[in-house]
Amino acid sequence: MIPDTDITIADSASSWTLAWRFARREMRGSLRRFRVFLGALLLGVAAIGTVGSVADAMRNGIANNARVLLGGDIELSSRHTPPDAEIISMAEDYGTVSRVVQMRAMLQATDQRKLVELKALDDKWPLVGNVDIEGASSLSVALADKGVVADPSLLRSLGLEIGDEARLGDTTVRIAANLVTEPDRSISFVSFGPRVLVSKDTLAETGLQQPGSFISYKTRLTLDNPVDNAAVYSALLARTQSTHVRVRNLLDAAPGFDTFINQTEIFLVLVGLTALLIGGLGVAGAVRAWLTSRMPVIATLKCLGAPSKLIFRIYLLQVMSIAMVGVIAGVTVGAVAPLFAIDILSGYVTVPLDITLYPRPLLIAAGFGIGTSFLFALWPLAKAEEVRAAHLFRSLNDMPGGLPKPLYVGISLIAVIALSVLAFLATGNLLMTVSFIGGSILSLFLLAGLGDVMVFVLRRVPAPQIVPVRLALSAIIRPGSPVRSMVIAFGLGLSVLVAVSVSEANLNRQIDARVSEDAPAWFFIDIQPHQIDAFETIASNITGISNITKTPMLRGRVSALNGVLSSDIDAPSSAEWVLRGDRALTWSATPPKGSNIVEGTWWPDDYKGPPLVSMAKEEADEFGLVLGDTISVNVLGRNVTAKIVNFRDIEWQSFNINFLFVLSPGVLDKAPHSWIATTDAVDDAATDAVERAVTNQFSNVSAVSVKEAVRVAQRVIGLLGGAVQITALVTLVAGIAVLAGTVASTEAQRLSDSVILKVLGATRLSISIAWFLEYAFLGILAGIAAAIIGSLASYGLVAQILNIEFELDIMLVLITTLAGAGATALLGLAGAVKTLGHKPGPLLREV
Amino acid sequence: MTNLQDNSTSIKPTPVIDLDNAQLSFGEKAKRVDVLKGINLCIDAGETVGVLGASGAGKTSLLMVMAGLENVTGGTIALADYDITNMPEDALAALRRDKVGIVFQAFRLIASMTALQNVSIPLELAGNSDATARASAALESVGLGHRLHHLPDQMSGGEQQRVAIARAIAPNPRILLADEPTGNLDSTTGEKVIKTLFESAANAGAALVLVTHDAGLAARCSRIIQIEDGKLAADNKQKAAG
Repeated sequence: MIPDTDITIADSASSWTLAWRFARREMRGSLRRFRVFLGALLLGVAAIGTVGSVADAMRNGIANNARVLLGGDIELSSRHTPPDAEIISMAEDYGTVSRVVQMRAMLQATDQRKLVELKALDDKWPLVGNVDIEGASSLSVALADKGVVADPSLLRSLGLEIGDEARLGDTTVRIAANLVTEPDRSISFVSFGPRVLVSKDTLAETGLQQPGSFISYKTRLTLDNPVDNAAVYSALLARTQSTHVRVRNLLDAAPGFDTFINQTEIFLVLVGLTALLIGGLGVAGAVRAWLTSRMPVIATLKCLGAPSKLIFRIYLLQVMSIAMVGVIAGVTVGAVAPLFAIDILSGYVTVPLDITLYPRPLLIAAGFGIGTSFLFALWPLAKAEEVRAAHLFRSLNDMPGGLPKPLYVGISLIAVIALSVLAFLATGNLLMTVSFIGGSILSLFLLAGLGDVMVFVLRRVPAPQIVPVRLALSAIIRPGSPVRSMVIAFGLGLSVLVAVSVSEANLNRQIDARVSEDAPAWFFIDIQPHQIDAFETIASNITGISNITKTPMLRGRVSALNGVLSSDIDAPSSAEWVLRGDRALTWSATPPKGSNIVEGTWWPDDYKGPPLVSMAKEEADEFGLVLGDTISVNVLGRNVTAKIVNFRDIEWQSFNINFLFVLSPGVLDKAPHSWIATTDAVDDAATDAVERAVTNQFSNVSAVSVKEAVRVAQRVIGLLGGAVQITALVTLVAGIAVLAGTVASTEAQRLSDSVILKVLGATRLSISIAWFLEYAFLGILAGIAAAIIGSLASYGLVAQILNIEFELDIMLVLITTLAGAGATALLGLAGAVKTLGHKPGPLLREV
Repeated sequence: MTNLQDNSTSIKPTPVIDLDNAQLSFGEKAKRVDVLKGINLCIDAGETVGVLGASGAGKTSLLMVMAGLENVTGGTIALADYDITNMPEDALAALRRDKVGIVFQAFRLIASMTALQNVSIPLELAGNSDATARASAALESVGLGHRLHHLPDQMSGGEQQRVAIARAIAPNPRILLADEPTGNLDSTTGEKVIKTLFESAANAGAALVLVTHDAGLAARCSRIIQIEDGKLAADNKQKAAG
């Protein structure tokens, strides 16, 4: 007899070529079974591809239009006062210079007035790009003789037409044309007023340029020789180092907005990844169900001599081929999505989008799709190769249980690592990626644990007397019941939705509460020091006006912390803003009203010594600053260094006047400054009256409506919330797809059960009730889990990251939970109930 | 060393199935169920053996052991000169591919593949370059030359079972195992299938082991064995114990 060791198995018996040949034949008709798998995959890949493509389209749009957005090759900007003539002269040596002045002002037409963003131009503007106006032959013609070019929406709201007159500061201007396109309009979500263009001569006539007023001076330079850009930029940077002038080049054409794009992209990609993770569960469920249905084929192939490796390869090739269909469809959606993003985004922000094909985000999305499919399909596939040929003789209905072979566990780990690396590539943020992966794994275990606990508890519950309830319970606790995968999939989707809903509700409530409780009616800006007493008198004489607060203000740039130049400080991303632009500064002998000093002491009322400063605690902590450290600020070109003597807690979300830095008196008092004031009003009449009285008396003072500011803030939150809601819905739809897939995967079992139950006398109604209850139980469990996980995630975001008071909206959580449970029950029943239509007779022969 | 890829290996006039005190049990200790309780059985090439027995007697288990689908838990078993008692799963699969053909009651054709593709499977697995031609010839031999490209659900039950027989005999196996091959067929169709089965086994010179409830069918075999409670209760050519 020949010993068994003499058996050799040719490599060709499990070659990829042979596997592909069998896979192709076996795949016939399989695509239909993978609708859920394909749907979930398509959603996740499309979400990630879309977010990446739109973000790249924005980045490229900004980069490709950088000269137009910047208004030249290099921009010098300053607040309050223009750059020194010497700096301008230096810039003029390199090319052509255009100088514009921007500020807020009130445009008044008969009895109506509006806050506008005023821009005074020289005759060289615009250096780059074209201005498009209607109603005049050219810009120079329109701006001549006190002509203004205005945003059509402004003219409509004030009832003005071309040719009409309006008051601007101390002068009367003529509406000369409609502004259609302004080339260098900065990209921003926040705009406090429509644009009005005037000539510099007209601005001078208005008398609005008062010392200390909040005025921006922008000097744009187009280089005679563009190759000199880096050298000129460096030279100007060096020259302006110790002044109040900031230099920007083409790389910084949309300051702050690139950070916004990056952060939004990270967030949305992670939500997309959650959708893909849930989709992955759908993949695992669909592959397992499909392989279970293929067990006879696998057993037959084994019976005919197919080695285990070949079985694995045949089905891996099939799964990955089908996955490719979903990935390609998702990538296609991601590729065309930027076309539609233009329309949606244009209502919020005028960011240029460069529409083209962006391979990187699409490849990353495809990588996620393929990687997730592989990872989640691997275990069922690995178990498939363990299906025994003996299945053909014995009714073995379930796939082999337990862990797959160590080789496959190892490959799974490699796939997890590869996906993590891809996630890092997509977000570029290690902390966020690690947090996301950790949070996902934790949530998965939590949900899986809850599913197991539920089964454990229900197994110990005495069987209820009511038959449908008993049937429902037995379906949940039977071996092989899909409780765990359903709770995980639907629970994750619902968790994201709960987290988003609760967070958005908290943000909106925060704003609403502030507006109703604390918010003043108006902010009055650019009040001259000699006007402040008169302002207070006028405002306090109006009935219904109370709580007038006022404070001097000017702007300065943080130039150094503890002697280290700001440019050399690696600021944490959450505190970059402190060093990035100009900061509002004030001074006071006494702690500002409502201040909460948490460390250190305030200086004496009559303090006259070296400069001291009070700083916001949270921001100081971000930079690791302690009492005794120094802050240097550049105010109008002069550097002031002050010692930190106390820290304050600041509630930035309130609509009160808050300052990051409050200096001791005697440091900035002599610098040109203006005052800012707020007033409360009991009703709309008082609100209108105080605005009218103040702006009639002081034509240089601008009134900023808090309501309007809130509307702007809510609009931005609404846009972000909308984007997040859409992606959250994607995750929920992925969860629903998985639910549908799970229901479909149990179809054969349900068909068999329903036939037997009907034979035993059960009516369709009683079977339907049993199934409804089964899915309702599962839905309630998924809902409870989602309520807990979603609320915790929202608490983390709102209370810990955004530092806003967190309030759990029980009703919202309850509604989301019940809606989830109801949806699960109905969807589950809808999927299962079709099997009830089958007549028992014909099927009994097969059951 | 015999390479199972080499289909030219000569068939020796020795027993193709040799069970020596073969036992099969499931479960442990108190839950242990003894399915086969020490079967001694030798089947020669060309022999036709009918296996009879009541439901649960162990007929199918015996067939599974003979096909290398279940490992004996006691005793030894050899198939086509190979000791398969402790043979690894993939080696057993290779042995089945080349030496054992199996016909099932429920046909077990792969629904997504045509008749020709179904029959080609074991030949392709063995790496035969002429797999399609040999599969086609096997189908011709069972009278289905005109149904090569039909899917199983486009054929009658009898035709499907004949495809299954063609698949079993295509690699020229030394052993042909059939589990209730006519159980799903009417008597007329069943008769045609049995005729095909016997002819095919004879043409291939293979030993045919036929598990059936039908004593009349078993009687057509050259040898009848009776299984009762996991033991060999009767064998018209029973081998001496030991």
